[in-house]
Amino acid sequence: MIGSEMVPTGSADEQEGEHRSCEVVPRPIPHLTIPPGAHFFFPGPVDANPATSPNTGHDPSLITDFSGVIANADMIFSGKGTDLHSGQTATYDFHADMRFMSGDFIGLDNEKHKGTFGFI
Amino acid sequence: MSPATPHGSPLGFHSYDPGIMAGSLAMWATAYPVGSGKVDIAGGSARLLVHNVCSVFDVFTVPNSFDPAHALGIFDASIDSMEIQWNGVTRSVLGFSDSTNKFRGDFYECSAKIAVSVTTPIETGHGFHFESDPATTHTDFAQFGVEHNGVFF
Repeated sequence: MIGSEMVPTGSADEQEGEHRSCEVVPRPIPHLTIPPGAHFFFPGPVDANPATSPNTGHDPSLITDFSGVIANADMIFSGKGTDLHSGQTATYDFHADMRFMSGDFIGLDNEKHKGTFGFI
Repeated sequence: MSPATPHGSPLGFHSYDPGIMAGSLAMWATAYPVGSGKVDIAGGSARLLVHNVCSVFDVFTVPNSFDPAHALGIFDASIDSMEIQWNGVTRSVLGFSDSTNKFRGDFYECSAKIAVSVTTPIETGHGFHFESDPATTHTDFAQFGVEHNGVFF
């Protein structure tokens, strides 16, 4: 923690309480797509043939031990890009795989939580 | 969210992702406010609406994101606002169950449209701002649904 002006305040219990408020993180799905070596499937139908499509489709969620709603979208889109230094503008294109997962999940603390996570 | 044009543009390369979620190994994942993502099964639609997502980085290219040294650099960025709408169901996969990957649910393939505004602050030395035109959205694949996986399978 950078900064010399931080003075501890409150009791140890209060400080522990602050620790407990740390963000709970979920577990990734077990599947490992190589390359790039990460726990996800590329976007595609959930019922894709695992023999011909081992890394595309299947589970759209990034997190496991999850129960809720999901949405994912693999999109190409354009817009206006601006260089904030020169002011130059031009059409700019992006390719994005965007997802969200919202509902109950078991976190790394082995407790059940509610949360919403995005994939960008 | 990475450049779609292989050779970039006059404005250079910009690519945005949240990196690896601290302590989780969940790739390019970040927490959103509860309620920001909604699915309406009966209505055949879903929607994500978020503002000021500050947990993203400008990593310029996808390979640079996976490079542990981030040789091209890595800088703070923010998604100022983003709205994605899913609708127009074209295929339903109901009661699907995959015992190998331990997930099940009802899934609805559809189209999507995105409106996003993203900024790499000028203070980074790589200042860039992008405003999408939702009408240009081309959907390669999109779906929404209800899912149960892992211990909930």
